[in-house]
Amino acid sequence: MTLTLAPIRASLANRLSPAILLLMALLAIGVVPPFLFLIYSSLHELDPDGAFGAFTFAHFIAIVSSRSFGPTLFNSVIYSFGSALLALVIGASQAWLAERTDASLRQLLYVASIVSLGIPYVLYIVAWLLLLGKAGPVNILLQQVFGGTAPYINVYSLGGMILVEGLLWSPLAFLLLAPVFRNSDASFEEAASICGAGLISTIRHITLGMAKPALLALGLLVFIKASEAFEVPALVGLPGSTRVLTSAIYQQLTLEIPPNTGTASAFGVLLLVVMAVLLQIYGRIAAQTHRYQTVTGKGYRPRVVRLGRWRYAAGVLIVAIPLVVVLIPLATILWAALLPFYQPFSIKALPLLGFANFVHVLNSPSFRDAIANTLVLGASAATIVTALSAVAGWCVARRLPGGGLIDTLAALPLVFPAIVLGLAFLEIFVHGGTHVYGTLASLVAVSVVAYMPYGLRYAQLGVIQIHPELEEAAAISGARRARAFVRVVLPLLVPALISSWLFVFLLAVRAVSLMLLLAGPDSQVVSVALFDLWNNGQIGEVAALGVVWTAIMTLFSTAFLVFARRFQLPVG
Amino acid sequence: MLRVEQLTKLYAQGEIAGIKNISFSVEKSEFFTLLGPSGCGKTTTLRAIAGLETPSAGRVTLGDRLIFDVAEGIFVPPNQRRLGMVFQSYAVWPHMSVYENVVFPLRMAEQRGSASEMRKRVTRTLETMGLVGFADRSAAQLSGGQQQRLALARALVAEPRLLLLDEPLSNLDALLREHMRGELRRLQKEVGVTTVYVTHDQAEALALSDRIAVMNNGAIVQIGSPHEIYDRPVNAFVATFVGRSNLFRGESVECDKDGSVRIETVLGPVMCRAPGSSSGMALAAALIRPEHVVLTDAAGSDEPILNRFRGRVVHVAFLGEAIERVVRVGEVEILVRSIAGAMDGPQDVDVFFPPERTLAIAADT
Repeated sequence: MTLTLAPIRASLANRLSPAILLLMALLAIGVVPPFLFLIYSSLHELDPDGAFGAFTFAHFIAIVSSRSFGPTLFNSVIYSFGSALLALVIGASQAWLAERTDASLRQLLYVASIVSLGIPYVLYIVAWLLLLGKAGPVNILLQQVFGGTAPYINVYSLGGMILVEGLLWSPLAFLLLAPVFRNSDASFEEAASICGAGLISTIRHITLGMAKPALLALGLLVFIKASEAFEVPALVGLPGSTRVLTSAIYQQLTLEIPPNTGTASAFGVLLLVVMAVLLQIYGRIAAQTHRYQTVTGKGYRPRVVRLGRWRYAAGVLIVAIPLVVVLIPLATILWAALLPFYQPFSIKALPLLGFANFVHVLNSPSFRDAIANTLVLGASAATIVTALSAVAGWCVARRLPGGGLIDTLAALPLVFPAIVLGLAFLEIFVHGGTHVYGTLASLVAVSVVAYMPYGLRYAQLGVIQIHPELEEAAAISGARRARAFVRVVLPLLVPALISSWLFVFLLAVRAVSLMLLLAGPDSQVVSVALFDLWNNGQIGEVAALGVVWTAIMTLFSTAFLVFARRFQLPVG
Repeated sequence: MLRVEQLTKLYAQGEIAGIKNISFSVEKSEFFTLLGPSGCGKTTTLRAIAGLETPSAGRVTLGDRLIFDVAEGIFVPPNQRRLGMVFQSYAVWPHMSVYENVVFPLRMAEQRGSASEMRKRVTRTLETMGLVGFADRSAAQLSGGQQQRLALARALVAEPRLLLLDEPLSNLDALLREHMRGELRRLQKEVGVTTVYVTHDQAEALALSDRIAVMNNGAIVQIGSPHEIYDRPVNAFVATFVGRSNLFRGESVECDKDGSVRIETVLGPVMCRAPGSSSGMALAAALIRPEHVVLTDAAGSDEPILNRFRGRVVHVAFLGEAIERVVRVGEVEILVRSIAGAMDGPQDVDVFFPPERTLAIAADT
């Protein structure tokens, strides 16, 4: 009897289990409504009472026929391209110096990048605005050297946007490129040397040539991230009236009363289409990065390039890059935090330094709430994402029935720029008649949807590293699939899940644009508080809150990198 | 052509083998092999010649030019040494086509030829390597054997003064390896390029080389032609590393007037031939190759005859072209290799070591 039953039970095991169905339903509830509401809103008039009215193409027509549409699109492309190029150049030089050469102080680059991962975007941008502003130290220095009283640099411009966004992404570009250079067999470069190529030729033809697919993929990634970024366009672009697509959406919602959600949604839909196309291309390129893997001999050694007399030049770069990318912005913030009223660095101002701003920030209940809210938000979102993605990642990696659909559902939010996803959820909360708008719980839910794709990536890679035979052995020993997952896969997956948790946590607490439209008075978070403080001109408070927050975050980002490196997980 | 003198490099960590006082010279057009077990320092030596390692002492002369000398502070960087090298991993650049790989050394040369001239040279080299139809193929698409030929084409195209080969056959499967071994030998003779070859495979070394340097623990143990290395190994290490051997440590050594040596072994006295002077050979061993042992029926009288021992066949292995038997004499096992004959011979046999084929060598302490 038992023998004849066995095949039937086996086929049952291959059907959708209730747990997987539940997971699918949860993902669908989180992911599908934002699409529907955004598209619906972009195609309907808004009645004065706030309800949807008649069907219309007017929003799209208004955008395309507007005189500013062309320049906005042009700005978006130039800004994204410039940022990608800058991040790539800085990141790749750092990665090469750190991983392929015998330059001294190489570890400094890692330390600086780790610290920079903990700096909130807004704070970092503020630092550059203070440095490069009209009355900032850089302009004053240039005026002293070259004379004149007019500022030499206008940071509130397309160039300023590219500079700040590019610098913002350079540490991540470095951390993602470092393994590419690290894992390349030195004999490729040695062979070039034997063939008569000098250092420069070798770098140009061999090192960069072989890293090309990886560089291209990363460049496109930064391009995508910059096109959907909101912080720099809002803080650097808008004051100088340089509009890109994301800041145009924000303006539709904040400049007009009542907010023009229809046109904003139409912008959002356009941006979604662009994102979908770019992500498709990115997927193709990223899949090619492993094409250049070839025979690695037993004599494999990742040897370093001897720089010889170039060593000193490299040393200067190694000190200069972290100085510019991390230390100077941090010092500027610290300076601002210690002054009662902001003024550029000068000896005269030294006696004014004090801890008044810190005392104010740490004693203010609203700031303390913001810090507590942010930690709760980050921790809950990270926990939920990690729990869901452990199961989802396993279904996807093991190609269980339904795995394909889960993969698609969980990855869908990737096409949403954060500001657009925020807008879509805003409409859901407003039109859905729910009373969740402005609650911390709603922010957690939105974060879970937004960061599910990243959690899934981590879990999936983690499962792939676990050999299927380990599970099969559990099955042979009599365990059902679910039990095999709990007893065998899950314990082995713990390192990947911890990395995933930390990564999602860092993403969730850093986000401004996702929260900006959704945070209410009772759910203030640090990133939005920084954004508002800066817009109110409270520089001292921005800086003090920022310094406290950066210190807390550096602990988390250090933990994240230690884990990611130990378990050889990708840092992105 | 190449002279290496007193090359020394010691590492703090034991992961990579250091080398001590490596000296040898290679004649023009000679095929010279560095042979030794892994970690003996042969690759370090090769990389030092290439300029990829900087030894802590010694000097290297290529042609009439000093390219490395610690004492005089001379170090010509690898890209100015005009060498060709094939790496163990081939290091064929996967992002370039076959043509681009091969033309690279010509493009990097100080005196660049014209484009058409370079094209002609690359085409000629690809022809020699049997890669004619592959010029526009991406290098990453080639099979292991093709990549190996491409690496060789790249190493030879600029007519280097010296060709360095770092275990180029070790990544190939057995059949292809045999084939490429023949190809390599033919090519080297045809092109006439001076070659230094590194391998741990003694069969490869014997088949390819004009001369072999056997290395162990970072030092050269013996330099000689393949014949000398095989027939007159200087010590037990060389004897056991190159070819198979029966080795019997001596308990006492007696030199006869006629140049033969009598070694007292566990089997009993063994008469040996001594290569060169046998004086001072306090610790000696008797060496006889398995194919030189003569096997006869144990039918004869059992009165002791010099170098003949009575034993019992305990194991027979059929190898196709030969048969190997293990004969136990007392507690000692002797390997005997015979070309032909029936598998099932008698169980009780006599083994005989012809004295002219039995060699007295220095035993390792």
